[in-house]
Parts: sequence; structure tokens; C-alpha cells
Amino acid sequence: MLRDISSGKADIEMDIQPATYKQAFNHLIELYPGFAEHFDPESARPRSYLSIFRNSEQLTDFSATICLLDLDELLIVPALAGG
Amino acid sequence: MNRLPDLTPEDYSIYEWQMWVSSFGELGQRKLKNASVLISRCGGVGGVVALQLAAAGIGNMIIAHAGNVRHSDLNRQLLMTHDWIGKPRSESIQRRLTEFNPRMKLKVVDQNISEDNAEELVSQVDIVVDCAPLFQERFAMNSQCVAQRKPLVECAMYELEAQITSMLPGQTPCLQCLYPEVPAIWKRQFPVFGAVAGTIACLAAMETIKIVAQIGQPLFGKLLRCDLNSMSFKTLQIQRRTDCNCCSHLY
Repeated sequence: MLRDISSGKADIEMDIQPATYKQAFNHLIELYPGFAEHFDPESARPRSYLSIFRNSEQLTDFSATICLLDLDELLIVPALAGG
Repeated sequence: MNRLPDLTPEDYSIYEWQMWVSSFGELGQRKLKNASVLISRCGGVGGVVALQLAAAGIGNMIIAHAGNVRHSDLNRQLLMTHDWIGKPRSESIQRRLTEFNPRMKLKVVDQNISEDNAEELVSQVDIVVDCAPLFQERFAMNSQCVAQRKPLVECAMYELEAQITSMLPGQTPCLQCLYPEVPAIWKRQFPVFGAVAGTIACLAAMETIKIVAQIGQPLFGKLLRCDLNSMSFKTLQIQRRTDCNCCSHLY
């Protein structure tokens, strides 16, 4: 449900150095500024209705030191309630 | 523990093919016959959950769904019929499910789940399947499942995306671990194909059967994300929130 922000793209590849969660967040906002309102701009922590997963693990620590490895995948999962 | 009900000759003839599932068998069928489920809302998702569980032979079902049948229900809500437009959804649900499985004990409540009725409704069942379109309803049910230590199958969809997890209070994250507040992003009306709703509903019915019959590996602590645009399915580990307003007291 966030794909309107990313022009319909489900996946966005990034080549960033050094690769940290914060760098990835900054790059995402540069590419698609519409994501900014869904995160705290200072901490890059997502709003409470979003969960972030690094590969299959839910991220709960959004500190600037969280490093990403080559081919790591960050998944943004919004709250859904459609029934 | 209550003695499990025996199967009748009619039960054997109807459920024979699923009792061939080796992990399920006759014992699984008797557990299902003994079980009671609450399904919150019986729309695109809940209607298919109800149909699948009725087909599988669950013994007791309570459904909560208010309002009258509308034209806009009919692209996905398989228990609503054209001839019932303008009449109570609860009557359409009762009629359709009773035609399908007259052996099942069915109670259809002409109300949606709220903080006023959740405690009473959850107290009457063994397991809850959450298919409500509003987080206020989902939170009321989650809160009661936590309070009464009942398992909750939590499923939802939007457009061509869907997700499901199973929650066991005291052992897995609860819904408010996942979303601590009513999400401001969610709107009551959402884009939906019946086939997407039905896809996640079938998975929810299977989760319910697995939990009741104690077979397989339910999605406890795991969120299955389904993207039907690309047909990619991912299983994600979800975390308990240590400061959760709803369930942190259980740990």
C-alpha cells in the first residue's frame, strides 16, 4: 500500500557505502520523498504502523550503527486490516 | 479435558478424504468437531474462512457481522447473495452456511466486535479468526484473546497484498506488539479482489485447523507476507514488544 510513493515499484535496489540502516533510509528519502512522513526524520525510526525487516528478521534497533551487508534486503511492511 | 465427540457414519462419509491426511486422521477430525471458533466479520476474508471451516467439519462457529447486504459486498463476500440486498447480512450468512453444513452449531450475531461484546464472544470459543476491516475491532478482539489466553489467527489484505500470523498469548507477539496504536494510515474502504481475500482466508482456515488439531507448524511468531502481484511469499520473524500495553504483563 506504499507503492504509490515509489511510483509502483515493489523493489528498490541501492548501492550505498558505507551501508548502514540510516544510509539506506536517507537514500530512500532522496529517491522517494513521500516516504519521509512515515518515519521519524531524526532517528529514521518508522511510525508505529510500519514494521521494518532486515531479510526475515524484524528490526527493533534503528540506531545509526546498524550495518547492512551486501545483498541484505530491507522490507517495509505496513499495517493492513482489509477483510 | 472434555472427551472428544465420536464421529457419526455420516461424518466418516463426508470427511473421509481429509482424514487420509496422516497427521490429521480420525483424532484430528474429532478435535475439529469438538472445537469452537469465533470469526469476526464475514466479508471477503471471513466468509471464506467460515466456508472452509464449515466444510472441514468444525463443530461450533460464532460469526459477528452487522449491517445489511449491499451491492458492493458481492464482488468478494461469498456468503452474501444478490437476492438478500438490503436485508441483514447475518441472515444471509446463517442461510448459506446452514445449507452447506447443517450439522455445525452456528450462531450469527448481528453485531461487529467491539469493546462491549468482545469479552462475552471470545469466552464462548476455543479460537478466534480476525477478519475485521477496522483496527478498533481487531484491538478489542486481541485484547480479549490475551486476557483469556485464547489463540488468534490474524489475517488481512490490501489490494494484491495479504498477510497472516497466528498469535498465542504468553508465547508470541500480540497484535499490539505489531501495531501499538490504531494505524493512522488505514482507511475503512480499501481496494480488494475477492480472490486475494479468499487466498488469505484459505490460509487462515488452514492455520485454524492446524492449531485445533495440533498438527503442522502454525505461524506462531511469524508473519507470512503474500504479494500476489509477483506471487512472492515471505515468512518473517516478528518480535514481542517488551513495553506492549496489551501483553507485556504475561512475560
